[in-house]
Amino acid sequence: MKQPVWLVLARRKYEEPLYEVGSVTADDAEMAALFAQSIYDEHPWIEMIVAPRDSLRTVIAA
Amino acid sequence: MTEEPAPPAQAVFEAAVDAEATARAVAAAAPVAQERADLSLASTLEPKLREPMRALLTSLADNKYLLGRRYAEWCTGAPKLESAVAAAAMAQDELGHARSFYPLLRGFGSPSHMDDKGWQKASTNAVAYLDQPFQHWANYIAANVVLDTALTTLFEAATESPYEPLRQRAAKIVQEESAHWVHGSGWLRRMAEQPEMRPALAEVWDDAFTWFGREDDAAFAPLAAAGLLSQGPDALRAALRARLTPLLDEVGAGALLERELPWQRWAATRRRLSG
Repeated sequence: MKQPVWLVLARRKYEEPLYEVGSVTADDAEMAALFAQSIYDEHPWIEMIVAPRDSLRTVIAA
Repeated sequence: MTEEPAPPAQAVFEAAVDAEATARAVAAAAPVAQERADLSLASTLEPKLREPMRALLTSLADNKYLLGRRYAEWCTGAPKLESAVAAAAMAQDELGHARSFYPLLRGFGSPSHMDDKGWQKASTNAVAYLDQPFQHWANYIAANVVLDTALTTLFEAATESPYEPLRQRAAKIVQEESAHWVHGSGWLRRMAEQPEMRPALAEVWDDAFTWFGREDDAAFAPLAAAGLLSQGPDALRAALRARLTPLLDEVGAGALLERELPWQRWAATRRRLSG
């Protein structure tokens, strides 16, 4: 069973935007959040979110 | 070829006979101010409640310690990179919880487990399921879902305890354990149909559900009667069952809930099943 990929975005300061720090694979958002928090713990982030990669839509293709 | 001179043998163990270094090491291991304050609170307990509280703290520390070690053994063996990292984080949590309880035992006149040389090899009073390393990832998940949750159920009954060292630790641990539940329940949903999963759940089930003791348990019952825990053994068991029931029903493992507990093997003084 192939698991969904979740993009992980985070930021360290209020004045900086969220940026992509990596990805995790997980069955649901709860597990994705758990994995993201334990894997990408290299900074004291002030915000971190996960988003399913499938939800992204290409606007301009490379 | 020129032979290199051997290093001076004396220097190798120099630190061991260095009085100043030894004094620094002893000072570093001594209880900090907060720990000293926690230790003194043991004397505020009624004398008849000190032994039950010591038994509770010992069992919590031993189970958390060994659970942490078993989790740690899977840091490099989990089926996914994500869970390997999560296993490391969970091991760190469990060992941290154990580390916060062992020093408290000094306040009850029993030497801290960690004061003994070679304490890592000493036998503990943790439940039998933790005696051996987990053979399969399913054993990890079974411990994660059932045993870890049993310990958390106890901590939930201690978040209003008038015994401050337990109350403070319980609040923090309950908060941290919510992530462990997400991990365990997520994996159980994924692995429910694997042949190893049901036997692993059955194996840990008896240990976790008997751990609270019988209703007249010499440790947990008086603590509950005195209000140091908000629930006694049967109510704690019911709380654990209520927590697990929706998940087990969801994955089709509800039959476990009908399992009869092997009280004939219960060794109350060690808080574990024998044999």
